[in-house]
Amino acid sequence: MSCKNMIEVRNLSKSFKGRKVIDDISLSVDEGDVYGFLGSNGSGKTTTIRMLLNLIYPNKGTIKLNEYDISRDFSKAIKRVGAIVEIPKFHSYLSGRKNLLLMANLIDDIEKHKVDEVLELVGLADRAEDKVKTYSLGMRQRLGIANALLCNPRLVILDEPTNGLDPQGMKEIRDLICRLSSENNITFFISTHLLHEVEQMCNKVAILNHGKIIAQGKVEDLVNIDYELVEIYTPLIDKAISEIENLDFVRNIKKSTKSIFVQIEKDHSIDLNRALINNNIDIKYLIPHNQSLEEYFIKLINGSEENDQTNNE
Amino acid sequence: MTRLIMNEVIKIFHQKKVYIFFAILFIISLFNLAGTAITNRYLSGNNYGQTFPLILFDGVSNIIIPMFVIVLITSLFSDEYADGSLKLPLLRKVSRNQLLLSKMGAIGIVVLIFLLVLLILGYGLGISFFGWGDQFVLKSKSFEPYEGVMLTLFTYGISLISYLSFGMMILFLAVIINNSASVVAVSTGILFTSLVSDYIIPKAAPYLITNYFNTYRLFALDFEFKKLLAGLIVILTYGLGFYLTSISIFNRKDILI
Repeated sequence: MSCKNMIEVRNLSKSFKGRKVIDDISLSVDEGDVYGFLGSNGSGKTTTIRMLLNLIYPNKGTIKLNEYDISRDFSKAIKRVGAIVEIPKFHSYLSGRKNLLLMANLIDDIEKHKVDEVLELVGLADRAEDKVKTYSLGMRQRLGIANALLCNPRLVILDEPTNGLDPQGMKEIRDLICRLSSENNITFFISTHLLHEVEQMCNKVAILNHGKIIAQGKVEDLVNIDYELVEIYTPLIDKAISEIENLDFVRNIKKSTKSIFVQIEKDHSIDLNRALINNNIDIKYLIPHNQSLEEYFIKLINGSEENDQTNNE
Repeated sequence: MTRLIMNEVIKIFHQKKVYIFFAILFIISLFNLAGTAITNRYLSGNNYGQTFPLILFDGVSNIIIPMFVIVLITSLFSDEYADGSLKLPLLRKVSRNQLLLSKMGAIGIVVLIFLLVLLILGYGLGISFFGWGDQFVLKSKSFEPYEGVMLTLFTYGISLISYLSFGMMILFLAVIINNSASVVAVSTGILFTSLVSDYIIPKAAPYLITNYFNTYRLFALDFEFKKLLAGLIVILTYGLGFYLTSISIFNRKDILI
């Protein structure tokens, strides 16, 4: 089954005053994806999102939203797109509801109850009549999400949506995103610098560093690479090590005070277990350690920076 | 487009500063009323209710209304750019051209309301305190009452176009200067310099937009079709020139806030 491309970015570049902040990036977001756009602060995430929304013009490259080129058909491209750029900004002297009503005025064929519906959905119904200047950062984030949902979007672009929220608020927003994605088939493009957020919400990710995409793909593929790390608890540590060293699928062994960390080729944990048992080595625990996105991210960033340094030299 | 303009008008009327200007207008009206009463009593003036709207307009046309225009544009453009809310409509199916046009349309509506309030205040207070009067006398020139009403409406009407053209100049400043306070400062500087130049360099006056805020002195008391046409050309040149330049710059501008 072919998936519709909700976002297609090709060879996008942007410079400010001669400094390249986005360097030839390409990415593709399919319908139904929850796509994480991961990068440290200053890596170029917000600039990219602003370019996706036509607020900043690229120096080079093309952007398609909903299969429309935004430089030619922006009004068609943006029709079913909701977005937050950085901290949601509203007219502080108006109430939350009034702000949404003004935005709803700009949407054709909007249902009368839509404003109340989205306020209810993000948990702001009780404070809807209060002026936005009295809202906390978290409440503004919720109002931003409510605004993004007003147009019955098929694609929602969120820039750091949990920024400024307390842990409970962060969880609620993550749950809301997951629910909207699964129940309403809304595609999400979410920029964040929080790695666990990507692991918890996203099925795909692109990692941005110094304006370049240094990795992208399915989250599960990026974190499950071609080896596994297994921790073995046994009373016979030295004997176990001498046996394991002879196994051809073992790539690395590290001894700790109570256990052994063994790096093995993928899908060989059963063989490892069998080899130890066959050599009369009692095993208390055999614990698989998945590589987290965090480890992968740090490794990538370090690798990328080392490469940059080498190139500079 | 109509909904976009309505949004802008709603925003304007939700801001306290607009009501402060209306309050100032009312206070100035009372001062003018007192001044006119003193003139009538001690300086043998013969100002009646039918003349008072123009007397009142004379008192606010050069500073109060232009300052109102500056504050409105700063609030709708510079403040929104600075606080990031300017981009909200741009994330919908609204082009940058439509956004600027809607803001100027809304400012036109609000200035029109301001002028209507001024006109109603003028006639209301004038008739209440001085009566309608049997003739319309202005700067020692007398007109039939219906001519006086037409002259009053003409002056108010032309001034709306002049204020909008002046507004386009302020819009241009707001587009190129991102800081609200700087826009207010530069605009106020230009306004006062231009008002002073009107008197100091009379030859430059026909080319200055401030010369056309209060048109009855220029056209009505000494009517010449050529002068009226030249004035309209200057007003429209300011308006269109600054508007098209603003649109052109805004369309190419990266919105970074």
